[in-house]
Amino acid sequence: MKAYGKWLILALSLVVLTALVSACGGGSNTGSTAENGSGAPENAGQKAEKKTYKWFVARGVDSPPAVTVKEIADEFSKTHPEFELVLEGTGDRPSYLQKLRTLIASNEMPAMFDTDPDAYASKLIEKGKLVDTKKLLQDLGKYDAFRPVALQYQQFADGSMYTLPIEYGIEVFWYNIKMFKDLGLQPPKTFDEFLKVAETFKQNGITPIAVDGKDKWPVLRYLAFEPFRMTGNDFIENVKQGKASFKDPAGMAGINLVHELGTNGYFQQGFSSTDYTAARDLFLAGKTGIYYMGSWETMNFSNDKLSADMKDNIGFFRLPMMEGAKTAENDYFINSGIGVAFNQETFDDTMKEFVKFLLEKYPEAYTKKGQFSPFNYSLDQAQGMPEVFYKIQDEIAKSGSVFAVPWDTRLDPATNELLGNELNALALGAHTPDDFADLMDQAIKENAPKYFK
Amino acid sequence: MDKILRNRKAVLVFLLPALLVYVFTVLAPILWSMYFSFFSWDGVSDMVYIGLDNYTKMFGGDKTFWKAFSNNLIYVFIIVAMQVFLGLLVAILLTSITKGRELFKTLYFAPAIITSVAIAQLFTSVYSFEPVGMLNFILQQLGLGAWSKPWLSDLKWALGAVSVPEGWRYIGLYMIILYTALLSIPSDIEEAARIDGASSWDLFWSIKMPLIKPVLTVSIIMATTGALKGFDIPYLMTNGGPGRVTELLPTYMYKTAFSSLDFGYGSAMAVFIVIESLIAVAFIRRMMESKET
Repeated sequence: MKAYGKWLILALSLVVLTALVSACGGGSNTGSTAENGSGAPENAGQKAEKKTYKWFVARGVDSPPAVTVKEIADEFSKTHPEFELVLEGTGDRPSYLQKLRTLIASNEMPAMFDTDPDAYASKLIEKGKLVDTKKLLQDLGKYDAFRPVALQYQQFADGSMYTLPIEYGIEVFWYNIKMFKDLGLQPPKTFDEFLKVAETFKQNGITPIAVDGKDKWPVLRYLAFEPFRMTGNDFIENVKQGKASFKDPAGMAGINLVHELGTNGYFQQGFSSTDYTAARDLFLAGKTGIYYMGSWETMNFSNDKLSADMKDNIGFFRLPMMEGAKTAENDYFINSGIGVAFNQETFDDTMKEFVKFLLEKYPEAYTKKGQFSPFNYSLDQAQGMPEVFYKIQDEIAKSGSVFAVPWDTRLDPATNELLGNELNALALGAHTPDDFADLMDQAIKENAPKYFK
Repeated sequence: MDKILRNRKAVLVFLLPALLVYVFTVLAPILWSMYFSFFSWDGVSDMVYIGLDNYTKMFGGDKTFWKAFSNNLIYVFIIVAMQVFLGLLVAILLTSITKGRELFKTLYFAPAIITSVAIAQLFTSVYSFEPVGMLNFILQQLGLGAWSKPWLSDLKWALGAVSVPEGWRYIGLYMIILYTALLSIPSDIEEAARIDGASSWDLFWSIKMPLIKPVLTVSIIMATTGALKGFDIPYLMTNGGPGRVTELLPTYMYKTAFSSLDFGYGSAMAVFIVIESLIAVAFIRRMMESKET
């Protein structure tokens, strides 16, 4: 009896163990096929196996670009039953990047993913992990179909390009027309006027500017405005490698502007923990006068999205000028969004065919959603889009060819992390402008050599 | 079944699967982190062996690390105070009522089953200043408008503000644990003490407290180690900001590894967190035992 019990136990534990082991093994197996899309047909007689390609999306799976691509992918699947595109998205940008980098560090790079041409991406390229999209577009004969700025934005300093733009946007200051009229204000043309407008708002008990401080990049834009006017992109390209200092006039001008806007209370109270939608809603609810954001929000400012109070009440103005500015009035932040990179390992003929199909269908499908595409493509009045859409479309047509690059796509990751954190503190008055400049110079001295040689 | 339980070898075999899982999910990563902590690695390029440099940097020059460490201590203090002491208070109150006890228990326990993301969202809007959130609204209604502020953006108050949700969330959990401990005290001890003329306070301090002390010790250890690895709510609410005022060691570790792409240095911090937790456990045990003598 005793011996019997022993055997029973042994048998039972074996069962448990096998179950455990096989569960783990099975899981990872299916996982890798799904992610790498490496399932090949076993023999000619069988139907081609479905290949699943994962697109790791930074912009939210229900954002217009993602939805448009998905629609086109589904259409493509009808003629190519072996192809399937699966989208996976993560809330905010910092967590997206962290998850992506963890996936890549553990050798599970998705077939497609969103990335800026930043220092991290260039490391991936060094390792030969990404598809050369410049060459790809030239192969497909599509290179000239894009707006030049859209492609330039995706390029590294040496002109190489490894990401595909699927968005296009200019960034403007949206403002509340009625509030400006009531206070007898004109849209500011210079930074001095801009600060005066902000002060007038504050004097009248209205919060001047709504800003999303939680995601950090919107505040970072304010830091970059004056340096861009003064030096174009020279300052950032030099300072990121330690060739210039934040103590230089351009750097201090940027730092002082953020410090002044923040400590004078021109940003809404508690801005550092306000997220993207909350900041926009503040402006749309008529609580603040000004809101800086890209043209990708245009449809949210069209009348059918607005309350009765706000109808026909939203205008926009360009980045203010300053004396001795090196960039023209129609030069400002223009971008083609975070680009889509392709994993070299999983980029097979099916994928290439899909990209070709996508490029054919995308401009029209995307623009009809009220968005601006990176292609030379525009809608005429007959399409019945909201008025503000056509206004921005005109503005895009008039925009210059010099565009400001976002700093967070240029700095090395460690400095970028620190800058995002401390910039809010600067605006809250925790640092003096001088201390902040020192802090940044120090960070660059420490971190930049690892990324820029 | 009795026979099986008496068979030592059999018990060992059954313990094996759990042990394996534990080794692979807990011990291995810790050892792995220790290994990584001797390297400089960005997750893409080759790893470079740098010996103890990460530790020298951590203990020597990194102000943010020490800032995060001291923040973490405040965070632990607030959370243990809320979870264990408020939990104990609620448990004692519960033992002295009979009506609606189940209802109170359920209500207090409810936050423990809500996900961190929802709690972070909830408290972000409670603390909000523009548009006005619940806390500031109540302050204004009470005529304390001068006290209302953007809590999560306030350099002085943000740390306290991000600590409270985590503490609040688990009051119910510790309440249940301590409540069960209080219930397990035999009623004849209590009656005997009453007959000897003990006041309610004496009864609590000299009879009940010593009897539930082992449970209390475990609760304090759980709450402390929980708070030492506190991450999700502060990370979701403020991401360590503004500046570094709500930075905790785990959030700093995570950001160092995954945003700054310094996996080696991040691993060194992870190792520190493990050691720090072990020291905290030893310290609490020592403290609770010495009280006895």
